Formats: sequence, structure tokens, C-alpha cells
Amino acid sequence: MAKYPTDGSDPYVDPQSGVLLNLLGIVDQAELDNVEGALVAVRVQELAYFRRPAPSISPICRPYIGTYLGTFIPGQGRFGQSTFLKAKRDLPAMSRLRAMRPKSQGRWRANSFSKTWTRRNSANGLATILVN
Amino acid sequence: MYTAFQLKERHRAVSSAVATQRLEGLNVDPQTVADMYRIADGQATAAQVVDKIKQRVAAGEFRVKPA
Repeated sequence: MAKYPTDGSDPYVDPQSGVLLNLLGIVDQAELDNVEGALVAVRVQELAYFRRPAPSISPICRPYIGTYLGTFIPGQGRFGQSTFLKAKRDLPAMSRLRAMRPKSQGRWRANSFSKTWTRRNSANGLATILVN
Repeated sequence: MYTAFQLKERHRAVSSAVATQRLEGLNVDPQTVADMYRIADGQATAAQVVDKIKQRVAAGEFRVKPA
């Protein structure tokens, strides 16, 4: 007996039994239910064991990933390129970052970035701003 | 192969999968549940168990006998 009401024009049911057409060729609804119960349970279990592999991201870039403008693309975040440059262009955010600079850690460095903090201070400060 | 904690979690996934099917109004036969525990213990793969179920379907093990 069919599980759901159907008419003869439905191309997805077996015309004789009214059971949903299936790859196993089952035409009995009770048997189909039993098989569905077994097969789906195994696949649900398989899904429960699936773990998405962690994306490979530079440790330097990690504080920015997923916190800044949602621009995270798995495996493509790299320090000094897209994410960090966007952060530098966001001047209000950088101003707030500078205002939060604790004196004990506020050490300006004349490196290639000229008047920027150490990467650790920038990362922690930016993450704090974005969280708040 | 698995730690005690991992085994516990994997066995819990079996119970959860069976419970999900019951919520859907479907039953999981004892043979399949035993096979699922074998998957949880790492003694079989899901693909092997699915193949076995298909063989059992072909053998008519899932047919409902008229009362």
C-alpha cells in the first residue's frame, strides 16, 4: 500500500503498487520502509563521524580570519595581502586600535610598515575591536 | 585504535542515528544496528555495511511476512 496518496499521472511512483520508485526495485511500502530505516541510519552515522578538515592558514593571519568583514576564504587568507591591507584601509578601525594601545606595550617600530605596531599587538587589538 | 572517549562518542552516534530513524517512524533492524556498532568500533566501513544491506535486500530479508 502506498504511503502517500498519488494519482496515475505521477511519474515517480510505481503504477501498480503506488510505491515511490527506487533504485532497489522495491514495490512493497513496508519493505521500503525497513530498507530506508537501515540505509539512512548507516548514512546518518557516517555523517556524524565526518569532520571538516581545518583550513590551512598562516598563523600570522589567523587573528584576522573570520573576524574582519567576514572576508574569510578557506586557504586563501595570507598576511600582507588582502585581509591585512583591508584592515589598514579601514582608518576608523585603525584609529580605535591606536587609541586602545596600552603604554606598556606601545612600542613603535620603524620597520617596513613604518610606524606600525608589532604584529601581535595589532592582531590582538583588531580582534578586540571587531568582537566589541 | 580509538580512545575510550572516542569510542563512547562513536557509540553515541549509533544511538543517535537509530533514534533519528525512530522519530521518522522507521525502524532499524537488529542486524543493521550490530553492523553500525562494528563501524563505530572501526571493524567495518559504512560502504561495506551498505553493500551488505543491499545484498540482504536482494535476498529478501527485509520483506514483511504477512500475518
